[in-house]
Amino acid sequence: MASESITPVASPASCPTPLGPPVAVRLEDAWVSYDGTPVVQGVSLRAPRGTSLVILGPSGAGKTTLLKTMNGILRPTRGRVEVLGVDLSSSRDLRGLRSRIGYIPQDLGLVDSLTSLENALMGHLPRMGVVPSLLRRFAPVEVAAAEDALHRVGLGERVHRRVHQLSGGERQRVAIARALVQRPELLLADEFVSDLDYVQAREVMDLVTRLRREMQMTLVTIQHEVDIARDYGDLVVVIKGGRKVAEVYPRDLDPGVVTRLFGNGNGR
Amino acid sequence: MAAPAAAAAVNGEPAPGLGRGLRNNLLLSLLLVLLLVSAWNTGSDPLRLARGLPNLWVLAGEMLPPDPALLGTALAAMAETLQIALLGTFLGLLLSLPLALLASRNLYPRWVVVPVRGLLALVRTVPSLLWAVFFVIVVGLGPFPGVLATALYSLGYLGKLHYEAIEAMEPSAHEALAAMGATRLQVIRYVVLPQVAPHLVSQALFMFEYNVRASAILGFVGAGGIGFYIMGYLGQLQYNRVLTFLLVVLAAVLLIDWASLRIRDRFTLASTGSRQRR
Repeated sequence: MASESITPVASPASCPTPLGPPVAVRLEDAWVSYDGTPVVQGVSLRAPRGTSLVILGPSGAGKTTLLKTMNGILRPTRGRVEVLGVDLSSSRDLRGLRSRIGYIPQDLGLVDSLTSLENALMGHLPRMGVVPSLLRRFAPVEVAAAEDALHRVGLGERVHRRVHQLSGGERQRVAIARALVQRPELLLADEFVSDLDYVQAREVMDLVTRLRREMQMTLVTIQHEVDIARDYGDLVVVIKGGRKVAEVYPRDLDPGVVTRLFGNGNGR
Repeated sequence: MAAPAAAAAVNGEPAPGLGRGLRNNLLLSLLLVLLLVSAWNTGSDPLRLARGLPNLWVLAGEMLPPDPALLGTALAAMAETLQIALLGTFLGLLLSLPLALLASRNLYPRWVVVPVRGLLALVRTVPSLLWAVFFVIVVGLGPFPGVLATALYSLGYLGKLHYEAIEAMEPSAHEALAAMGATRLQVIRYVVLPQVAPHLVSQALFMFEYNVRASAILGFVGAGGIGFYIMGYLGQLQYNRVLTFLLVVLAAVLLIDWASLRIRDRFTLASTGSRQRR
């Protein structure tokens, strides 16, 4: 699959970054393997701070692996991965770095039996001492911050609802609120709107974009839908067969380009 | 045999392989042989049972009517049995939880998991009655060795059931929290325990039900409870008194099963929004 030849629409070299340094995420010739099989093969990319980088590609392209490499869940077997100024290949303090990175997995990673507020409060855990956190001793200011985050994502009326009682869109918002409570410098989100309908997906993406700007946070999302990638990314990196096949500005992601990349006009 | 195979081939389905059918027949034959050998070695003879059936009527005649004068004693002894089961289950649950966490492959490395699982397997291998004999020797007669035996037996079983539940948990929330920089203890506190809590409660109640029944015979070896009286009256061939105690055990077990189902149902409904199947 790596040998499939698709001419890059614009190479990193020919596609100058819209914003200059500093950079939140920088990958240089990164290779990641599962059980000796390379899943990500020589990917280089950079996400300037405060921007929205969209990783687009078909299923099984290695997008999730790439995202997990950015917060150190997976380590590169070759190449260099630098996130928020920390070199992941050599750093031993991954917990410290991870506390600065929000992460929303594809199935959101919520605890269904707990309330929205309890889930949102988990955003504080990386910065809390072990004993107070185990005793659930959240300071009033921390509870207020979690409640505020839930209000900001439009769940003010659902603060004490258990997550299993919420709709798909509301669950998405709880996951976003949890990430907001963490106050991350970088938010990694893995196809977190893929289960929503068109309108809901756009509502959630509008919300995330607004919050990203307010909090001056860098956003790296994996998207399946070309339309979402085009409308919500500052830069789009296209991954196929574990390799980066293109890096384009959203405005350049026209139907012709999509057809050349995916054959069917869609990321799926 | 040929007709279904042909029909399957006509329908486009692959015909069942001859080797597979042969293997199934061999397995069935082996099972049949094992059953016959077991019946022979254990003297399981239906005719013998038929010949013995009249004894059942004799025994029933001797058991009836139950002796109401012993009802107070039976209730007090049953209360002691319930206390043995309650305390034993609670201690077993308390001890099983940390061990189950340490035995979960999705939480701890192999060098921790393997020895802890070995310990749980060892504890589980010995039946509670044998543990009771052991503790009667160690701490003497009475309900206390019964509590210890019940606790140890519960520890072995609940430990296994809990680590299986923890490993079957959806990994997403665990992964999300760890990716945010939470510690392992925080992950256990905020993800693992809330997710497996309904399972823990359900299994603990099942264990309690089981322990009530098991504790009823711990008295046979001097470990307290209603079994002490049942054994005593059986030895004196006072079957009507035995029946009084057995009826109290039956009533207690039915009551506890009913209450336990209600509690489990309510707890599962509150925490997951879905009612348990019955």
